[in-house]
Amino acid sequence: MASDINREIGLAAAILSEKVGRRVVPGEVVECDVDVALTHDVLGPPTFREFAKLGVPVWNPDRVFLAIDHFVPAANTAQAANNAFLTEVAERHGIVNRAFYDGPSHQTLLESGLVQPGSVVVGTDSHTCTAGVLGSFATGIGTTEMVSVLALGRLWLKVPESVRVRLQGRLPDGVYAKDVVLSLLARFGTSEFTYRSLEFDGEGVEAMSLDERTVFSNMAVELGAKVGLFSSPELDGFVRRWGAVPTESGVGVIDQVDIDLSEQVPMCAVPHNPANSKPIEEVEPVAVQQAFIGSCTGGRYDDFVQAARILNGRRVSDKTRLIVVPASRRVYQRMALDGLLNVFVNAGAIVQSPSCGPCAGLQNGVLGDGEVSISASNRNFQGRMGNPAASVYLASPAAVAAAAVAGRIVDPREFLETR
Amino acid sequence: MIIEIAATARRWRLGDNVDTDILYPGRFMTLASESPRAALEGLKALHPAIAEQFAPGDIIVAGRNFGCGSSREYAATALRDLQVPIVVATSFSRIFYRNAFNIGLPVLECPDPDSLPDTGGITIDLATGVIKTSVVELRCPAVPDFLIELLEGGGLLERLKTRLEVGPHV
Repeated sequence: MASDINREIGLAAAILSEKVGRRVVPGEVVECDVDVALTHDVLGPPTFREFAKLGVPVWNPDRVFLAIDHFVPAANTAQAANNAFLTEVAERHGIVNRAFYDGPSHQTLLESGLVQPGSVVVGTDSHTCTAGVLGSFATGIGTTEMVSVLALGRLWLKVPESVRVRLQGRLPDGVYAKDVVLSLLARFGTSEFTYRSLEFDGEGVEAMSLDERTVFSNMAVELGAKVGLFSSPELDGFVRRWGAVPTESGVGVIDQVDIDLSEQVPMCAVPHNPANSKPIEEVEPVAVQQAFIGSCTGGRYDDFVQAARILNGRRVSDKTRLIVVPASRRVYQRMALDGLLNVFVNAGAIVQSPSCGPCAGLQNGVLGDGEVSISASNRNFQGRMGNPAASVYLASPAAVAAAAVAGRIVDPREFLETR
Repeated sequence: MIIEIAATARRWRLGDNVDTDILYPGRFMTLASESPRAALEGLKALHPAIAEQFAPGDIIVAGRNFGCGSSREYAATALRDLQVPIVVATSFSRIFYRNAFNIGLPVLECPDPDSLPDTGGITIDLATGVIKTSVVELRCPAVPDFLIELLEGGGLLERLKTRLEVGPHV
C-alpha cells in the first residue's frame, strides 16, 4: 500500500525523476516530454489558430486529446462554427483521440486509457489536474504554451514541493469527498498550496471509490496546487528507485496534513469564493432557484447515486429547477441501464446530455439577476455561472439534491432518515 | 528589464484572490474574438470606476493569489493589450504567472504592495526585484533570468518561431 512507504521523495519529484532519468529535486526546472496534451472547444480553436501560423505538423497526433464539451450542443452560429473548426482540426491533423459531445474532457480523458501512472499530462484547462487521480503529473497551461507543446512535444516544469495529505478513518453517512475538499479550502484558502503538489494517501483512500478520489485531484487547483496525486504500485516503484538516490539538498515531503474523515460534516461554500466554506448547518437557508449536479467535479456515477438516494420518491421544489448533467457518455449510459436516470426524471429534474453544463456560465443554465444557485461543481466566483448579479453556493451532489427538494439550502442529512 | 511607471499613472488596487472570472468573464469568451475591454467589464465588480477611468500605463496592484481559477490566457493578454505595464501582487496563481511571461505581460511578486504610493513615478527592475519610488524602496524576489529573456524576446511564441527557424514574420 502507498501509505506504507516512508517517502524520502514526493510523488511529483519521483514522477519527474522517472521521466528525465535522474533524481530531480523541488525548485529545479526540468524540460520533459509530454505524454498527453488536452484541449477543448473553448481554448482549442485559439490554440490551433496560433499553431497554424507556425506551419509545422503536430509533434505526435496520437498524444493529443480533443474534446467538445462546453458548447454542447451549439447554441448559436458562432458556437457551431467554433465546434466545426475543432472537428476540422482533428481531421486535418489526424487526431483520433476525440471526446466530441461526450462530456467534460477531464472525465472522458480518465476513461480513455491514454493516461498512465507517471504520465505527464498538460491541458488548456485548469482542471487538467483531475488526471492526477491516476498517478499522472497533470496540470493546466495557457494556450500559447499549448502551441509550443503541439510543436515540440515538450515543456519546462518546475519540480514542486510535495505536501502529503493523509486521510484516516471513514466518512460518516451523508458526507462525501466534496465536503472534505471544501473543509480543506476553509482551512487553507485558495493559495496555500500554490506551486505545490498535493499527495493524498492513508487508509481513508483505500476505502474510497475512484469517483470519490477524483474529486480531490480535480479540486487540487482550487487549493492552489499544481497537481493532486494519488499513488499506485507503479508510482511506489518510482519512489523506491529515486528516493534511494541521495541529493545534496535532500528534500522530500515538506509538510503533512492529517485529516480524520470520521470528523467531517457536510460543507457549503458561500459566494463568491470556494474558500468561503463552512458547515452547511451554519449556512443561511437561502432559497435556491437553480440546483446543478454535474461537471468534472460532481457528475460521476457515484455522485448521482448519492443524489438519487435523496431524490428517490421525492419531487424537486416548484420554486427550483434541478439541472442534471452526467460527466460522460459512459456515466449517462450506466444511469440509463440501471434505472438511475429515472429517479431524476421522475423527480422533475432537467436532464441534459453529457457536457460541462452550466458550470462555467457558457451554456444551458445561465443565472438571472439576483438568482441563487447551489452547485456540485468547483467554482463560485462572481459571474462564474454567467451573471455577476447572481450567487453560487458549492456543495456535494447530495446537498444539491436536498436543496432542490427543499427549495432552499439545507443539511442533506435531514433527508437520509428512514421514511 | 527596467519598467518605468509614469507619475500620473493610476494604481488600481484590487485586493486578494482576483480570479479569472473577474479578469476575463466567461460570458465574453465569444469564440470569434477577444476584447481587452471585457477585462474592464469584469473588473467593475471589484472597482466600479475602472471601466471609465482606466488609461494605458496604469498599473494593477493586488494582494495574494492574483489570477486564480481558470487557465484562460485572456486574463493575462487582456491586461497586456490594455497596456498595463506591470502587475505587482503579493503572489500569483501558478497558471496566470506562467501565462503572463509566455504572452509578454510583466508581473512581479512583492511582499508589501500596499506600501506603493498612489502618485509619483515608479522604477521597477525585474532582474533585481527592486522597486524605487521617491518615498520608498521595496525589495522583492528577483525574476529568474530565463523569464526576463522570455519577456524581452516578445513571449513564448516568438521564441518558438526562432526555435523552429521559421522566422519572425511567419
